[in-house]
Amino acid sequence: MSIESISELAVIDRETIHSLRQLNTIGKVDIVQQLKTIFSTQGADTLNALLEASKSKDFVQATAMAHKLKGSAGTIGAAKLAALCARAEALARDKNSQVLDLLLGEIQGSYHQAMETLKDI
Amino acid sequence: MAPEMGSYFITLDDDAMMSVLLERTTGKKSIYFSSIKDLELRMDELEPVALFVDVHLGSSENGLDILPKLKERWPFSPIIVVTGDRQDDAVANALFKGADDFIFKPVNPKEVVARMQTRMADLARRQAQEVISIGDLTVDRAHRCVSNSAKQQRFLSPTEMGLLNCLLSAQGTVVPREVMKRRCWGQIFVSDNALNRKLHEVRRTIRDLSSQVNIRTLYGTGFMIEVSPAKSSQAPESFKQSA
Repeated sequence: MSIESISELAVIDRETIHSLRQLNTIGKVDIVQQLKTIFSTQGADTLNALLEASKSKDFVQATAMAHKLKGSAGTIGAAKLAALCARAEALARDKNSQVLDLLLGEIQGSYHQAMETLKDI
Repeated sequence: MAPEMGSYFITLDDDAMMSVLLERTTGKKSIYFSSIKDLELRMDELEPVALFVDVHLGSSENGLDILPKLKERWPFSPIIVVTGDRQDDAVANALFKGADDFIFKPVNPKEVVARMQTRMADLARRQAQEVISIGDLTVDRAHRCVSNSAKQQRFLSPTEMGLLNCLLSAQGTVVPREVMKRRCWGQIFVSDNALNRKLHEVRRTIRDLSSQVNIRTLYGTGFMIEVSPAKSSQAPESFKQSA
């Protein structure tokens, strides 16, 4: 997927949020809130680990962290972030640190954007 | 303390969100592990109905590496591999290493439920074929476990289980000595003494657990398994597979 098409993706895909909420049952915490809580801590940790790994040119760790963040982002409907992470994963696997470094800024921005959007959901 | 059997599944994934999502999707409790090491520490005490295993567990572990061990420990609990990789050969490797099924991330809740239920039904059918009742004993061939109604149990070695299985398959008829050797050891030469020693172990196990079942020696002919009619309403032909 090209960077242009990624930028057109939703920060948070409402369809995914709707599907998740269909799993809600009476008497239980809203699943979106539950996932959001995990995503805010786990996602931040993974993002930091990704930045660290990239800085130290640890491409194995960078690939793993990009992969993990891609999965978490996909689960909560952060479509743009998931797509950026997929690209970062491929770049880390190819040890393309130059382009990966450029992409990491976008990933950070997209993560914060997703967290902001999730606040109102 | 482990939860009641059959009430939970295991999630092995470095993403804790998957555990929550699968729990809500299936309506069952998830016992969550983020690493193979943590799961290995608790394998003995758990009896899950199913297992969801992620392929990429951080940078150092691969969930596929533990599949054979999981399958050996829980042969009748479906293992469903979860992967975000659609391009590599993770799915083929997973199936090759003992996974029963796979799902792609991000997961589709309806697909998860359908796959889990289908695989659970498959394995329940297989379990029914693997568990045989004879007299006051239950023989679980997959786990190589013999138990009685008082819930006492003994485990047999593969060869011992092979011998017992050979006798059970004959359904109360005589199995010649040479046939038993061939079925359990194949082309390898085995002395009568070796066969007797192994059979002695099987007999001892049965004697410890049962007042009805016995392995009878017909000198010069072979062996047969019998259920004592004096202590049971079931005749020797009452071999049945548990439903």
